[in-house]
Amino acid sequence: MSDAIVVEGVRFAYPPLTPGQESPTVIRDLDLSIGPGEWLAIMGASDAGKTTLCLLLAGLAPHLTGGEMEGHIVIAGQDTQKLPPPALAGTVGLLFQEPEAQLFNATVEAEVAWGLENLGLPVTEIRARLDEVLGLFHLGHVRQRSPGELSGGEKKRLALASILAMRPPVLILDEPMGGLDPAGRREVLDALSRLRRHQATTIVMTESDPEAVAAFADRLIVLHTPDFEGARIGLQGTPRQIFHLGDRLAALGVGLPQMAQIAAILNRHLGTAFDFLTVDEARDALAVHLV
Amino acid sequence: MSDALLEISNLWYWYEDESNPVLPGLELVVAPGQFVALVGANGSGKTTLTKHFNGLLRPRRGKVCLDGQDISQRSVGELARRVGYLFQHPEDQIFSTTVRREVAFGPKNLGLPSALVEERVKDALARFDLTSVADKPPAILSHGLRRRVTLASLAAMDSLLLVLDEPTVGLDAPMVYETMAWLTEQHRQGRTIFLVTHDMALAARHASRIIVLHQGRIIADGPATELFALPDLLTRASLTPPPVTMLSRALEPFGLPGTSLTVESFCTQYLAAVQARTLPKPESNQPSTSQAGEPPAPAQGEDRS
Amino acid sequence: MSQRFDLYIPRDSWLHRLDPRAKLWAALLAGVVGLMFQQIGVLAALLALSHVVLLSARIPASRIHWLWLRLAPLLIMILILQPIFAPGPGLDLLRLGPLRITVGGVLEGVSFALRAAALAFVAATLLLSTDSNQLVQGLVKLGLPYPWGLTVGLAIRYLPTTYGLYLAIGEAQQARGWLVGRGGFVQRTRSYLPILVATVIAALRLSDNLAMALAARGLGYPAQRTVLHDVRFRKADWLAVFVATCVFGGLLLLRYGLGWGGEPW
Repeated sequence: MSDAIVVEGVRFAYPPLTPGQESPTVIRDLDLSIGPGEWLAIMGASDAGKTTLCLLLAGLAPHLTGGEMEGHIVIAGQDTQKLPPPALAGTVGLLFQEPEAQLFNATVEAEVAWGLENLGLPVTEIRARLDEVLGLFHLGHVRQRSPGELSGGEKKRLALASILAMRPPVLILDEPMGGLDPAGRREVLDALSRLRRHQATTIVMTESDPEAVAAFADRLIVLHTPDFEGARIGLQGTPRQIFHLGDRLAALGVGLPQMAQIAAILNRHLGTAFDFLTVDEARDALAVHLV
Repeated sequence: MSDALLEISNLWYWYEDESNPVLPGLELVVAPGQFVALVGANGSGKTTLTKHFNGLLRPRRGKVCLDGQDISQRSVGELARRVGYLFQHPEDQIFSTTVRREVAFGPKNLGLPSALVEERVKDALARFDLTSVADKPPAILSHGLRRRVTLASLAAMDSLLLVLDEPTVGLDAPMVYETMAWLTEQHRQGRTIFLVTHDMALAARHASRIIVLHQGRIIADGPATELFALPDLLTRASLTPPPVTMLSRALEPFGLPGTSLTVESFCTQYLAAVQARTLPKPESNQPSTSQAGEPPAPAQGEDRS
Repeated sequence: MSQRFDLYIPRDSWLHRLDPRAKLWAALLAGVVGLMFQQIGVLAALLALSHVVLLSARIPASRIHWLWLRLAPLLIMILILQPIFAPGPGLDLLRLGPLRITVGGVLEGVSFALRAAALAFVAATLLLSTDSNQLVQGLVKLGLPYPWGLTVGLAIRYLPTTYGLYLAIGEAQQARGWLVGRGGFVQRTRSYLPILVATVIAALRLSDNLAMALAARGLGYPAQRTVLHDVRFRKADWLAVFVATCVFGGLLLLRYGLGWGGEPW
């Protein structure tokens, strides 16, 4: 099965602030393959280039941001440099951090339908997809309400719904849990899990909360900027592998989930090789020594 | 005459509809030097409450006293002398042409003599590692740097009471660490901290007092250990204790005390309990469930002291 | 917890059900009437009519009150400054050195204030009863290319957001000791700078993100755009257009045929 996303030799720099100046490289030497249906998390320090990578993967950079790009990014068979961003709308969806800039229609229904109208789908098809997607994201009960009235979690679900109605095989999420309270976070993660079961969408998510990554991601890459010369992949692996690399992660600006922190400390003192990530795994592993 | 720093009595607040108050008669006393965390779901009234501390909102009914004085007659600008407030998305407030001027904005507003303003700015810039970019325009700096500019601006105000609304949301681990380290420092110097947050792990780790707000009412108020022993209460407010607390509770039947708040305290307890059972140093006995596909890094278990 | 200041208020009323094109036409004609006449009676009647329309459309009085509160500073400024800077004809009411206030000047002040209020309420009547999607669709049906119509719709939709940003930033600056709105006219205006500059920057960032979000969701996709909820002209709409045009025609005749209404009184 061919990969959902292929990144080859990508280097990217934004346009310089004053013309003629050198602009610092933001992404350098990036190679990455993401399989269909995979859930990949991208971590790294705040300014390591995670958002830029999201824009590149969605084909919005360099078209809309300007700047220079080398290499290729191919999403579901489409080369992002060969197509303008609107043409990629049905291939890759991008959820931005700020809901204010993503929700601009008068009702929830109009919001979800908007992208489908752009695609020129017949009204019957739009209605069918509306019902499907509003059901999947539990938004049926607010169908006629204004997006502004919704809670934080509902807004995120609406933004997701309006993107996923277009059925892109790939979904990019930039810090999807930002600004949400624990209930809102659970809503979004549950919605994404339902989505995967329903549609096997490939999900790429930047995230600073290691707990969420540990619970959901299949694979994790950590971006870092050695020598301040552009971000590249510093580490790559499953959450279980990466989160048990302890000190190396601190240097890369990545926090550890509490279970991994506990495992690291106990391993150091007891000479064990604990690698639990969830509370249940930890309980089972640690109870053994207490009987 | 109480020596509370902040005393709120019978605070009622509603936005447009009196029959739908966000805060229905709230009572709160904060002693000087406390580190308080205010937690609760979105819409529970946390920000509405904290905006009363510096006069941005005035009570519809009830009274707010700072240092024993009713603040209803003081303007927000005056109260800024003693109350420092960091909003959500603090970078939005940045407007100056240089970082230095941005940090100086607050102290200048307070009418401080220019020598003192300069000193405060210099110290704040140094504290947050901004001296090298002090004369650059903040608008072109990276997000992390701009966040530091807002923290430096807050630091330069030298406030008695610091109120921070979700200061660690979306920040990477080093920035969270930096922010909390600075707050801890401020606390040690005797300032009162009011931290609004969703992060229960953060609240448990730093705050000596956690106030849980639910639909405008305080449903719990006490140290973290007390709170985490009331799971129904936390569920009602849509909060979950940090994973380490869940783990220590899960291991209670096996003899552990049961309410660890931090990773460090849990490990200490666990190691002590293991010692008490005088087990010899066990060899590696946990089945590894890692799959093939090595990360481009040393294998786990390498000694990293 | 964020306060939304939505302009549009959803209600089930005759006004809400009118086609946006009919409302645009009526609002346009009403606006021209407001500009054509200086007669206080006509302007007051236009203002009153807008209130009747709004209330019959079940727009809550509290929202109308809110609008008046926002207009008040502007209106008061007009009422005070107009007579001072443009003393009109007629009896002197006050003479104090170079300052000369006349009856004519005061009447002109009242006329201009009424005109400002009337035009504001005509616009409000349109925006309070038409949601941005309908408005965009109305403009598109009138021949405006979709991106242009969308631009108008977005500008309106983001007004409350920008206002919200402005308020939030105002609070942040005040919390840093900034005193807003004190002192003389010049000082007052300068006091808004830190807030305005920061608001403009935040609004620009927002619009940048919005542009990307629009493209990412297919604005400009190479296909003919379809519409879920189209707008259709019905009998009520033809009636509204007819009535508005006739009234306008009559007023036009009155103003330029008979030459009445160019003076405040």
